[in-house]
Amino acid sequence: MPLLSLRLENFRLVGRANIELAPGINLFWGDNAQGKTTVLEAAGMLATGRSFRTARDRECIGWGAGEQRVGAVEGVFTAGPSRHEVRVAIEPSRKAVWLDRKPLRALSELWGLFRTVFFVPADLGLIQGPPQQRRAALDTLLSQSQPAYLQTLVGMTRALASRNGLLRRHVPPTDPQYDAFEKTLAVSAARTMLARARLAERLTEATRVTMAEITGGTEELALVYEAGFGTASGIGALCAAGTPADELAAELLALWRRARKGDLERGVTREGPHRDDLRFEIGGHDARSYASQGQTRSAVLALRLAELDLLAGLDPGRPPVLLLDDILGELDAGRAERFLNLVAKRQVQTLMTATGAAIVEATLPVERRFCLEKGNVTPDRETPGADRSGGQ
Amino acid sequence: MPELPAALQQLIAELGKLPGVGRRSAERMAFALLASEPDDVRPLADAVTRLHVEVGLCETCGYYTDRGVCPICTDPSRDETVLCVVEMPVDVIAFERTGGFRARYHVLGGVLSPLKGISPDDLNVAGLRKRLQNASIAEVILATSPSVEGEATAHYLSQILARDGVRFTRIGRGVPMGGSLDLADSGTLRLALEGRRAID
Repeated sequence: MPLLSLRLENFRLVGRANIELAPGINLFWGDNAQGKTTVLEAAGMLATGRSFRTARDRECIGWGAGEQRVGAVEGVFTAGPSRHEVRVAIEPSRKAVWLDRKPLRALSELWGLFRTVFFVPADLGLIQGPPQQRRAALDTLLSQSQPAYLQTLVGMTRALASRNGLLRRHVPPTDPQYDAFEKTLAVSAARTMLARARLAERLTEATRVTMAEITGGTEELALVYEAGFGTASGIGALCAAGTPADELAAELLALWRRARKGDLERGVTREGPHRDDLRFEIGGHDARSYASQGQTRSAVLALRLAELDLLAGLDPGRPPVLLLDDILGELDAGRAERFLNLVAKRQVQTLMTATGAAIVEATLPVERRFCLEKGNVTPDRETPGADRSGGQ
Repeated sequence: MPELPAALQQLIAELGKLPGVGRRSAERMAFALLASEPDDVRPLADAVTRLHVEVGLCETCGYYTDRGVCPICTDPSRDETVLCVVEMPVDVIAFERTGGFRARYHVLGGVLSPLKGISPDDLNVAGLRKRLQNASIAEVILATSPSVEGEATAHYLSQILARDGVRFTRIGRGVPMGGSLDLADSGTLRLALEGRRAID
């Protein structure tokens, strides 16, 4: 069982909480704005060192932190045969992460030890929303399954920012500084793009199963990687065909060299993996323009389940932990129930939130229940009052 | 707590600015200095005063020296054909500690960084170009750090300084000595794999 315990200190509105988790389904219930999502956010932070709610860590520091202004999350989890302890402490201007009481130099050292798959209400905008959300979905999954990916991605981002720095400073296009940074950029970009393309293929295979489960076999979903280059460049086709990384890097290098003049006019690198996208096709049609609300919801759920299956298949001894935020509030009852049944079938540790306990317990074998009130987390086993049951 | 005397406060504040010294360590150092005899403290004060007066950078390589040219550059027993290019003077110390390395150095004073606004003009590239005009140099080892900027700087130098008869090499990257493989992070292991070579 992956996450044994979770401890929060001055984390948003939770002043202090010690949560002993069950290996099965853990339900956090209570009214809105009592701290349910905060518990899930804390669990997610142990896996990635980051919040799925905000890019500004300091928002997580609770008001009760006093002058010290430190918010922290601690967790004990098992990874295969061993136990690990992670502590993430957030101060207004910095963040520190400890693994087994030793400070980590880089967040990338944390990734992959403890894996999570989450579903949050914002995911429902995944298909129609801006592409960075879809890139983030790919990058999160890749970083969790192969930590070296994250290092490559960080290097690529830095090399790209450096090239943009040259463009912004109006360094003339013939300056050899471009060659220097483009070489570094091309190598990391080729690796990143090939990894993303390969993942899209594997996700398409995995969603073939999960989409059928969710829709009862009526819909088919395919995920198509779209390289952040114009179709005339031929880069997209290269990514799909299992090209060696060196070959793709050489193409990218030539392309960026030719693009310098135009990029200088715009002051930014116009084409590259920072413009990559992931296209969802339902029944062969682009879901962005053609899918119904119901279809996009099914597609997002199928994607998250597929992620769960991929990560579980990667290392059967260490299944990922599923974090489900307010799934009943966001989905219609029928779809939510079908989804929860599919979750139960997979028998992974789950942390989920709901405004009422009764409807969840009617569908799912909830193992442990916690009530949230004004940031206090109380284990409770009694049936909640009738006024609170039934969800939203 | 009553306020500390001004001189003591100043010393604690100054010591606390040094790398690796926190408020508590600065206090301990300051109290220890105060507790010792004035004659024992004077050499420290003298050394600090003399530092910037006497120590400068070598005209040739950019390493620390108290004469115009450093002892490494003037040492006739060193290999004149190999030049090791590093970022900072402290990197020279690291290479010298290896013991067996008997080449000469060139300190750039940093790495290219368009993000921080560091261009080739801010580094000692002109000095390096001048040194390469000496026909004796056959190999330039680019020993900048394995960061994005360090890699780009190595690419840059090998491109702009390329000339017949000079070989540009890059330091190897990989697993630290005495390190156990299962403790190395995956990125380092990947580099070590990519940089593998035949056993000779």
